[in-house]
Amino acid sequence: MAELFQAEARELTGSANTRRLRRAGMVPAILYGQGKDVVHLSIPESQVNSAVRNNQPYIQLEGASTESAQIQELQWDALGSTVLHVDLTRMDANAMIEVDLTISLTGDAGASINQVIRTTTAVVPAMNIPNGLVADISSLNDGDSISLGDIELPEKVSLLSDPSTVVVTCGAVAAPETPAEEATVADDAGSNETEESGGDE
Amino acid sequence: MALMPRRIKHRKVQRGRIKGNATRGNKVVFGEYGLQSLQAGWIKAQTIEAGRIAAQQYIRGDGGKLYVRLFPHRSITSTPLETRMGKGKGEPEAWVATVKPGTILYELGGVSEQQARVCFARLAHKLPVKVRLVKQRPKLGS
Repeated sequence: MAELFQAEARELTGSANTRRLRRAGMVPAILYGQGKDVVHLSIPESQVNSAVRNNQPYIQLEGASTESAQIQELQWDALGSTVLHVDLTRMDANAMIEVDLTISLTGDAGASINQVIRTTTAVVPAMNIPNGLVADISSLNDGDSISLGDIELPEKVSLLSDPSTVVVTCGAVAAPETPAEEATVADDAGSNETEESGGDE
Repeated sequence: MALMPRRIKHRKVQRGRIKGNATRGNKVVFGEYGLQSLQAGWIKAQTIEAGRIAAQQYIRGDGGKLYVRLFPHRSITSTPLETRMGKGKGEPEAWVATVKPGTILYELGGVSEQQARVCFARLAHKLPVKVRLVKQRPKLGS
């Protein structure tokens, strides 16, 4: 889910006033875009830190403004530990975006498994980005595989990759060298030994 | 052999003052964890190398990678002991890197946070400035 920001309108601008705001635990912010008026806001520092920690650029504003927005830019202090200011751009609440989703496995397979791909690109609602995709491998037996099309997708999520792309194989091991190749290798080794022994003599 | 520039324009430079915070080299860009300086100062080439060895020995075999983000570009001079005053500026004695608060000194990639903390703690003992561990900033906005 998108992060929720409890925004308050900010009428006093300027460095002295924003410094007072920061001391009170708020972060000054500005909201613009889509041809509408620019709005000065202040947001609780904890909510900004939460969005930063969760790497969540898409947010839902409440309070002084009830709009969907995207974090456009963050200003940090000199040591990079505190957010000083947030730039927000308005965006459509129903916007769809492309993200890379991680694929995790659940359950126990009947044999050893090999996860071929670990992420896939998907189109998801910007305001409801899923944490990832989950592939159930409990029904897998030796020789079975799961492709992208077999994974259950969250609501309104669609994949960009080919659904036939294999995600997990079960019981598949690397093919051993063919007897013909082994024979060739053995022959080469034998001829080398012969040459070396000849050289010594 | 400790780090030093291959070619320089002037052998001796004036001491100057270190003012302000770092505006460049202040973000973790190569690894996941960085060692950030909280003070201004000069770090000698031998110290950089000592820190590198301390960290490298700890992460050896763990698959981690260490990045050294500072280089001693500046020479410092000194006059020999028991020398009378005058007779000009001393000869270059060592090479140092200038560090400002916020500068990322070393970075670590491919290790857990716990490993990075222990590794940087060992490294920090060698350094003449206060430091702290920082993580790579999330790519949120700019």
